[in-house]
This record gives sequence, structure tokens and C-alpha cells, in this order.
Amino acid sequence: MLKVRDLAIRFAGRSASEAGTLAVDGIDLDLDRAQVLALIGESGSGKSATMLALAGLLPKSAKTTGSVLLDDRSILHLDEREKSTVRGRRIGMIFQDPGGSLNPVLTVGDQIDEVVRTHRRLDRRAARAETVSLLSRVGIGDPAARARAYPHQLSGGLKQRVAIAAALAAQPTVILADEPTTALDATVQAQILDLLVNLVQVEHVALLLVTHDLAVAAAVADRIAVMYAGKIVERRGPEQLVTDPGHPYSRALGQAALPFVAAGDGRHAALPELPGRMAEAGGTACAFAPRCPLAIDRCRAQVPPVVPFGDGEAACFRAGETAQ
Amino acid sequence: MSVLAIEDAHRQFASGGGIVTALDGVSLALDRGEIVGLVGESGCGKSTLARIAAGLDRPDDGKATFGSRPMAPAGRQIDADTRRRVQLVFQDPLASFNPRRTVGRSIALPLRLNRMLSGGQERSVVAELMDQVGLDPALMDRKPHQLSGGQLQRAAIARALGLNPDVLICDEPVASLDVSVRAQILNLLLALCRDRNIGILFVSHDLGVVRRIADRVVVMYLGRVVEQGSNEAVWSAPRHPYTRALAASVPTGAASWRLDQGRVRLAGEPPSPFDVPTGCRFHPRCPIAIDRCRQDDPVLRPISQDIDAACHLAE
Repeated sequence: MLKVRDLAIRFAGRSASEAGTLAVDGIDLDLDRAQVLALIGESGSGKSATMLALAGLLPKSAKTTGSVLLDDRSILHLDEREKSTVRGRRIGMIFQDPGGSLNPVLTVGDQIDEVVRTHRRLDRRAARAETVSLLSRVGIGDPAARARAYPHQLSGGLKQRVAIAAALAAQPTVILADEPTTALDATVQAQILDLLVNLVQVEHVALLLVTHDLAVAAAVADRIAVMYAGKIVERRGPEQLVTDPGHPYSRALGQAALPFVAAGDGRHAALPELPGRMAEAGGTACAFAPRCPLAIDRCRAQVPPVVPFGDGEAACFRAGETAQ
Repeated sequence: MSVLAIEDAHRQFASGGGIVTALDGVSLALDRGEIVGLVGESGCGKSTLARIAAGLDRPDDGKATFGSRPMAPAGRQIDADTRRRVQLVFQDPLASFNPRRTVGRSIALPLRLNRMLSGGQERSVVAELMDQVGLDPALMDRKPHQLSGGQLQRAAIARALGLNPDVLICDEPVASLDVSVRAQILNLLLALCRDRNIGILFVSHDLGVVRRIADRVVVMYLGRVVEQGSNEAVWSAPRHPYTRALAASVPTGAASWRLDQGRVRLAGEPPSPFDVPTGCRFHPRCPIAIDRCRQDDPVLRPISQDIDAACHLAE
């Protein structure tokens, strides 16, 4: 349903002569209804640029190539008017800071009413009934009363539920969620993750979850794509990605993500480190090679092709091997 | 004897016409050479407690002592020696540096203010400090925005170490860093604790990090300590239902986490500290609350050799 092919994004340099920065270097994504795809990576991996491109929120100066099809219709190079219909109607969005996406001077009910009425031609009364139903479906108790609250009267978790209700209000086919639980407390994060998993099934929407947190991705996603320096380096089901990663970067990420287990190897023992930092996108070799414990000459000379691995694929000459 | 001790601290703030009770009788002790993880959700009082431990705030009631000295006698500034011996590392390193000053000058500043530098030494002392935290001294003349988040957090630690502290108060020191950089900073803190016998109060909402590095854990809920004990004991067999729920809320990395019907799921969010429930303050969200919990406020009591919990039903 959502089909991304060879998407590349380059941000403009400071002057016309500068080449600018390549953020995303030719990625493919596929996502169907009632499915969750997680895109994970660190700063500089290109995950956020990808999300902005899908949402139509990239600055004009950014150059995109490749294709993004939503139900076989291209949504990459739309004019402003088409963009706002697609963005509002077909794609819902949830952000990290739920307060930031809500208008502080309107009640949450009025804000959701507005989305419902813009896209669905309902009268005021029917729109409010729909809003109350949406609030109830995202697990807000006493929804009719909550609809009359202003955002500042709600806790962080409730605000994120309201933001999710607003994202669902236009009956979108895809929801893009950018770090939706990162700003929340542990027990509230667990509640919102449970809610997202449930909504994808019940509302039959597709969810693209962008996160830095492998454990969060594994808790929610059907498929996980790992990004590094603008490329997808591995694509797997969550169980296999965690237990048997193919790409050494995925392995390092899994170790660095500090699974909730005791240190096990003694008091104040050092944690596994990943030295150095991410290379820039667009090189002619494996971008991870400078940090990779398995790198061989070939990795420094060629971009590794994507090869089948386990229940997915990995872009690595030594996929599945481990350092001794 | 603990180097840093807070006893029965109470702290209230006036806010928007109401009174918020941030701390309601909290005690905390920290030894040199140990890492104490302080965890809890927003509004539990952990940041207020950390500020008191750092001497940036003082309790309304109760006391804070450093070594054998009271931390902040009422109405007086914290003394210079204590100030030197307790240092802080914050979450956002960029915000903790003056953007117009070079990183080297910022690292040197506390030393100059404490008259611990004599003329001409500054660059060599700063280089030495940067080297100790794994930061290339060549970066000394850069401005903060020219360093990565990880490099800048190392610089913040170098600045704290210059005064040769006994205690570091770290408030979410890795929360804004990428996961691969996080381990580097945590390893640096572990090494400081081990090699220099520094005591670290590590405030974090990230239970995975705390579980990996702390010696002891203190769990707070709405202004109280509800459970404390050795890191291993608290997480492997939590006695307070809130701690159990916290532990269960951390995604394990297993896809089965979402389907786990037995996982403790808490309804609602921590109530407002403006309006603390009667009896046990956790009872409105507690899956096992009984009548007694709605009336009697449980006290923190020893449950086993290495765990204290404030729950009527803990055993």
C-alpha cells in the first residue's frame, strides 16, 4: 500500500556551489494495512529525513529523488494544495512531544472536531460524537468531559492519546509516528505501546514507527528496518533481529541498547562500546566499515550488496558472522 | 560512614496557588566508590532530591550532611569546600556550556574560581583533564557547538573532575545521547567510580541503564521512597508493586513482550503531587491494594537483608 522505491534526499548546501548533505541514499520500504514497520537508527542515519519526506514536510531546498506511492499514487512531488489533502486525509502523524502538536488555546475536542469536519463533511453534532468516540477508542476515560479540556490540563500520556486520536480523525491509511513514546514515563510508555499495537489491528491502519530504541521497535513492529548513514542495512522480523542480527551494526545496536538485564559480569564492569561515529552517507564503501569489528579490505572498497538473511535481508559481506 | 547523607527531607513548593509536596520525608545515603541509581517517573521528586544532594536547594525540614558537615545551614550559602567536593553533570551538555567561551576555558573556569590554577598552567591542566576523560586536547580551543553531544558530555565530566570531587550528581547524563555513544559515557563514569573512588548519584528514568551500572537503587513515587536496596535484589525480585510495574513496563526486546498477558499493566498515571492520595499514595493504581492501603500510609521498612519497601503487603 505504501511503497517507497530508491528514495534519496539531499539537503542543500549553504551556497549553490556546495554539494549539500546527502541524508538518505536510496531506500525501499513497503508497508501494508494493519502492519507496523519500525525504522530504527541513530542521529544522522536518515530516519527522520525519511519520515519528513513521507509526510511532505521537507524544506523546499531539499532535493528528493525516487518514488513514494500511496495506493499506487505518487505523493512525493505534490503541490501545496494536493499535499495538504494527502497529508491531512491519508496520512496521520504523531510526534515525540504531544504538547507541541496540539493548539494550547483550543479544547482538545474542538481540535479533533475540526479535523473530522475538514475531511468528512459531518455537521457539528455528528463531528463531536465522532470525536468522543475517537477519544474513547484511544483509551481516554470519560471522553465527553475530556473533550472539553485544554491541552495544559492533561498529563503527558493523555496528551499523546489525544494526539493519536487527532491522527486517526481523518481515517488515514497510514500513521507516521516519530518517537511517540520517547518523552513519556516508563509505565505510560508501556500503555501507549499497548495502545498502538491494538489500534493498528482495530482501526486497520498501517503504522510507520520511527525510533532510536530497538526494544520499543521490537515490542510493536512486525518488521524492522535498521538505517545507518542513509541506507537500510538490515530488514528483519523483530524476534530474529534481536536474537540473531545479520549486520554487525544491528548487533552493536542491540548490545548498546542495554536490554533490561543485570550486568552479569561483575560490579562496575564495562559495557560494550561502539567506537567512533557515523560516517556521512553516500560513500563508495560500507559506511560502517570504520567502526566494524569484522571489516575486511573488501568492505573498505565496495558498497556491500543486500543479501537474503534469515527472515529478511542484510547489506553486509559478512552477514551473521560474529567477532571472536 | 556515608559521604553524603540526607535525612528525612521534606520540601514543598508554592505553585499556581497550590502547594506541591516534592519530598515528603526522604532519606538517602551515598558512599564513595558506589553508584546509587535514583529512579521514578515525572513528579516523583527525584530531581528535587538530586538538587538537595548537590547543595543547589535545601530541605524545608530534615537535614543534608556532607562528610560531617551540614550541607547548607539555613540562610547561608553552601561552603566552598563542600561545593568543590560535590559536582554535577546534567542531561544536556550543550546547555551547560557558555556558547561563547571555548571548551577549554569552560573546563578551566571552576579551577580559576577556586584559585587552583597558577599563571601559565591553564592549558596543560585542561589538556590533562581532557585526556583523562578520553577527549582529544586538540579540541580545547573549539566552541561547544563544534563538538558532538558525546564529546561535550565528556568535557562536562572533565570540568567536574577538575575540582577533584568526592561525589558526582548525574542528572540523566546520557538521556540525550545516541545509544552507541551512551555506553562510552557510562563506561567513563564507571571507571571514575572504580579508579577514583567517586560516589555517583545517578538520576535516570532509563531503568535499563540503571540496572546495568548501579550498586544500589532507590525507587521514588510521589515524593516518597517506596523501595530501595541492592540493584540486583530490587530488579530480580521487586517487593513493591510499583517497582514490579516499572520493571514490567520496560520493553524486553522480545516481540513477545506485547502479548505477555501476565505483564503488570498499570492504569492511569502518577496522580498530581498537588493532591496526594490518602493512605498509601500508590493505592489508586495498585493492582493488589486492600482496604488498609486506602487508610494507612505504609512506612519504609526492611523486608529482607538487602531490600526496604513501603508496602503493607510486602514480605
